[in-house]
Amino acid sequence: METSEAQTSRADRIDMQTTMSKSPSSPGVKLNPAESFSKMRRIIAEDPDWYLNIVPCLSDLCLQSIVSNFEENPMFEVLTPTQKDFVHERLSTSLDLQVTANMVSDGVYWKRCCEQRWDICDLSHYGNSWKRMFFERHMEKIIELFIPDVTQTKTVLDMIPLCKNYVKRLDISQLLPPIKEPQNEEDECGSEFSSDNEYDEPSMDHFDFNILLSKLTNLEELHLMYRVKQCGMNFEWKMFEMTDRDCESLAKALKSCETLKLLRIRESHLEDEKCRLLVKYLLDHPSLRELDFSHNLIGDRGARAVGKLLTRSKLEILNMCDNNIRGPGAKAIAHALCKNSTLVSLNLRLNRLRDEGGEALGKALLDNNTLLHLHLGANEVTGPTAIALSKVLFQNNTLRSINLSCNNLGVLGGKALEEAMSRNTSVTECDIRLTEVDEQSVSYINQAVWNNQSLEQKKHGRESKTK
Amino acid sequence: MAAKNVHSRTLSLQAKLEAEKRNSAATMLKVNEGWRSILRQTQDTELRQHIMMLKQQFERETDGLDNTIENLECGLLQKERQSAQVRRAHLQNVESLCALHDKRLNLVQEPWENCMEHISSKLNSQRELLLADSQQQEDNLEATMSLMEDKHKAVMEDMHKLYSQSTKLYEYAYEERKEADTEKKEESKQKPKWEPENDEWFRRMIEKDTFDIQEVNKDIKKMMMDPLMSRRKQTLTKLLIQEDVRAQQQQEKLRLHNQLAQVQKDGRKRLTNLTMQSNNATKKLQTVIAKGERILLLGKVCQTLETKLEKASAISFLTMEHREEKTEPETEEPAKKVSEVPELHQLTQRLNHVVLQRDALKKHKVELKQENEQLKLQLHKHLDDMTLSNNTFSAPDAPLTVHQALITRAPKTNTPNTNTPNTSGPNTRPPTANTPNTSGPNTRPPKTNTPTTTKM
Repeated sequence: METSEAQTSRADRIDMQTTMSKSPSSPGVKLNPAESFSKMRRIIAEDPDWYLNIVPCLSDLCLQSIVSNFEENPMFEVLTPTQKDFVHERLSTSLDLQVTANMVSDGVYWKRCCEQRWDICDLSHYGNSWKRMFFERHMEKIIELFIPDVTQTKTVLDMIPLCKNYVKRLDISQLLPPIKEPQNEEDECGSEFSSDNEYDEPSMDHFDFNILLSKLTNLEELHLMYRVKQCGMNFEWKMFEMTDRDCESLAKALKSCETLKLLRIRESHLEDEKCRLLVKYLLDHPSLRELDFSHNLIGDRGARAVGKLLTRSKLEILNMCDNNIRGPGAKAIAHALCKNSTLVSLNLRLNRLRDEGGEALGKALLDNNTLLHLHLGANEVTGPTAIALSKVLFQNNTLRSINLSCNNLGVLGGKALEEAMSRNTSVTECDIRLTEVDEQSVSYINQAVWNNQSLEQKKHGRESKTK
Repeated sequence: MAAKNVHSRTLSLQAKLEAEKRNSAATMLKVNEGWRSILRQTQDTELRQHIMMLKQQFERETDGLDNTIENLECGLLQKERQSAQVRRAHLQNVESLCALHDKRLNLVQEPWENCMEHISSKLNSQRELLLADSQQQEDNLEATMSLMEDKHKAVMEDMHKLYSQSTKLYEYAYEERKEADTEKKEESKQKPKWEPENDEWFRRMIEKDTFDIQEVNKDIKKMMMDPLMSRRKQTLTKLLIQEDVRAQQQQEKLRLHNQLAQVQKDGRKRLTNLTMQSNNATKKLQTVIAKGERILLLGKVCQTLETKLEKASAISFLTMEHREEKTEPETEEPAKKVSEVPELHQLTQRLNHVVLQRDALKKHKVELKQENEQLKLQLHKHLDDMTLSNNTFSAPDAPLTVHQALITRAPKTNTPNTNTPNTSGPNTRPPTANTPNTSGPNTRPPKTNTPTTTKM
């Protein structure tokens, strides 16, 4: 059929060529514009892959039939690489994922799927794998649009076996609460009958991760935000909070996920109690390396819990920026730092540590030899903290970057830091913007930092040469 | 008394008045108190009601105010929360943007740094090349400078030598010329025109030199006369004059050099011409000699032939004459045979003789060919018999050589009289040396026989 059409069209074209007729708008004629240049009137080709001379070979026809019947009879593994490329190019992107997920290997097909679905595809963010991008974004979409008690958990559970090999990171930026039916004032009157129509306690406040996390065997990063992105006029503060039940289910789910390396729960109204609950389940987690509870409402009790976590896990990066931690909390963390030997980066920016917390941290750092990056910006920390930290800088050789910006360190603090930096050789980044430090001190410290940077570059150069 | 009475009455009346006043005051007080008590009693309830009302009113107002305060507080909290949330969201977005910017910067910086390194390395290499080149050029320049200086020195020395030599020669020549002049003057009466050009040239030179010498003498005299200021001028003029003299002498030297060169050139030209001519002459002579030698050889050959002819025929005296006469006509080309008649006779006789001989030889040749063929056939038969018996003893390639033995081969002869180069003698040399047996019974030494067979 296809060949006969091709033949007739070829015959037409031959006729046209021989008779040199000028019938431009004959509908059935397919012409390759590259082949008929000057003598014929130009007709836009409908099928760019159509050739006059080449009869498609049998293998091409077979592959086309494979592509068109992929759903009923999927076969991909048996093909040679060039044939696989052909299938990648031609396979329909609207095929059911049940069929294609584990059949079709990573390649152009998934690229086509991604580009069809989403506009911006930054491949480097997904480890240069189109399949991974597709499945991660697909899963994220499912979870983000999951409405408790409305969406069936089956949709999620069915998806898991298809994507568990490819999903390494889940970056979920909204979690929907269950739908609240509008309450009538009459129903508030506690009649028995009204309890059915009333706001029923849903089984879960947000998506329950227990069903998901333990089964995703390759998951390494989990980013969560308990908020709603497009609520419009239905704004409620509850949409931007994590409830206790959520916290408990999430904590249990996190414990069951054994490959998780990075946990980030931001902007979810996380308070002390929830933080303690989560930490309780995260203690002695085998693989957790990075914890990010920034932009929450964690106070001193939560900070104490986090300090306990520091001693009983292998955390390398801790980010508690924009919380409510005060002096006692900082003391707890400092106490944990004395004994800790894995933490590399500590970010306590935008808290309320004040000098109490700052000095405690400074004392702790005298004993610590592993911390490389410390961020204490905007903590209402003043001169005494600067003096404590300068004592640290005299003798510490591992600290690489310090950030004390937006603190009122004053001239004395600046001078202490200046003296310390003159002796220090490892600090390559010292940020003291908006600290009201004397300009001379600033320039001196900058010079010391530049010297250290050049030293480090030379070391790097030597190392690379020796390598 | 009445006044007293009045007085007493007034006093009593006054006392009564006062008492009544007091009484009235008291009663007034009592009345007031009573009135007040009644009033109190009546107004008590009213006031209490009033109080209650006011209380309620104030409570309501306070409640209202409290509510507003609470609402404001809630609103404030919410606004704070909202602003915090917005701030957080903004912070997170800005941080992600910064991260993207940094990533982009790093991506762009790497190729830029690579390019910079590449360019700097290129520039360095080019600089080094240029430096090396410039140094080489400097070295070359220094070497050439030193060479030039040496050359200059040598040239100057040569110049000085030449100058001294030329001066010496000049002086010598001058003295000779003087003597010659004196002699010439004596002889000039006899021969006035002997090389007038040289004479004049010498005279001019002499005049110039005398003039110069006179001038020098004058200067010397002047120098002797004026020692102080004039000396300087004189020395200067002297130097100038000396320089002029030197220049003139150099010019004369140049002229002499040129003359010498010209003479030498002429001599060389003549020499070359002579050599060319002598070469040509020698070549011609050599050709002539070669020709003569050839002719001699031919003559010898003719002699041998004629001696043989003599043996064959009795024309000895003719051959002697012929030999002598052959050389001449042969050297002079055969076209000159007609000039001498008796020689022609002899020649024609010889020619006829030779022609007859040739015809006889041809006939003989034909006969010999026929005999050869017959003999070949006989040989075939004989040799087949021979080879059949010899095959058992001889080499395996023997039968081939039998046939090859009968193939004719052209013997090489230099005689001019032979017209048939191809001879077919019965005895032909076999090309292979493997079969002495087969050619044994039939072979005679081929070289000596072939001329006899042809010339038979």
